[in-house]
Amino acid sequence: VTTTDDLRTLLLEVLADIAPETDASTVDPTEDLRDELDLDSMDELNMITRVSERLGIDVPEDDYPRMRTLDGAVAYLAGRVGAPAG
Amino acid sequence: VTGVVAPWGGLVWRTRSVGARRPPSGGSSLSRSELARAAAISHPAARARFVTGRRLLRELLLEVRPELLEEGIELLVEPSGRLQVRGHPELEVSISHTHGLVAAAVSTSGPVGIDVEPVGRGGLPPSETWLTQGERIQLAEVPEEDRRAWLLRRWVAKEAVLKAVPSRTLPRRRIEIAPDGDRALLVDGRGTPELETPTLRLRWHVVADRHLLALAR
Repeated sequence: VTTTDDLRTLLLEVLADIAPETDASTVDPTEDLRDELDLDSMDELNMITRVSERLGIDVPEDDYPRMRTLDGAVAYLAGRVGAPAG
Repeated sequence: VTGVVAPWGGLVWRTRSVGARRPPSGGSSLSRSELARAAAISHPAARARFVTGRRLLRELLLEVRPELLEEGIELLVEPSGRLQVRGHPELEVSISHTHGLVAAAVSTSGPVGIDVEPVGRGGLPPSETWLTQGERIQLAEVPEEDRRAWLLRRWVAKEAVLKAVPSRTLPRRRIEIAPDGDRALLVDGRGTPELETPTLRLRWHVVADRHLLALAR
């Protein structure tokens, strides 16, 4: 079972890989990841692609804005995979 | 400072190195809301790019509309992320940031999109996530050694197009760049061109041998 904590850990792992010069674990989870980690649109699509591959889901481009913050991404992915809190 | 001004039918654009020192200019000073936005950006490089980009855009706006110096420039961000100049719907603007460089464009003749990326940038997302079916067929014909450059050119073009179309949530897989890279069409999910939408034209520049820049309009 994938929980919201698992999803947060997964996102931080992927972000650490995409932006290795930054410390993803220190981001404000309510702020835009692009500003927090200096990501651009290519980084953003790479993050979404890797996370969706790991979870076996397809994230439509219309939903990308819902993954702009760490909390937003966790909530969105939890809804997609039916993850319980914890 | 790297900089180019290229008229293209009511369009000017310019690039600038992030953090480049510029003489003080009242007209290019950021507004209170922009300063607040900059202060909220925690990553120093992202903050520097935001500030450089907004100042550059303001300078271009003053070149195109000197009267804005008296009037003041207020930049509004639509929910889609598109920038507008308050009180001047006839002005279309676009900004692009990449590592070490920002680019800005102002058009008085319709929407414009600008994008810039380092020439050697790799790590592009898997092609099936952002190329059209037609582009993937084209890609199969591209020699292996040319693929990275071919893909980067498509990426930069699509980013510029996304900024030039009214709906910035348009999927990249619905934007098809012509084989010669001089125009973009919108296609439906099966790759058929949408005839009711206009073709966007593309123009290319290489900035200081290090950055690839595309303009779409």
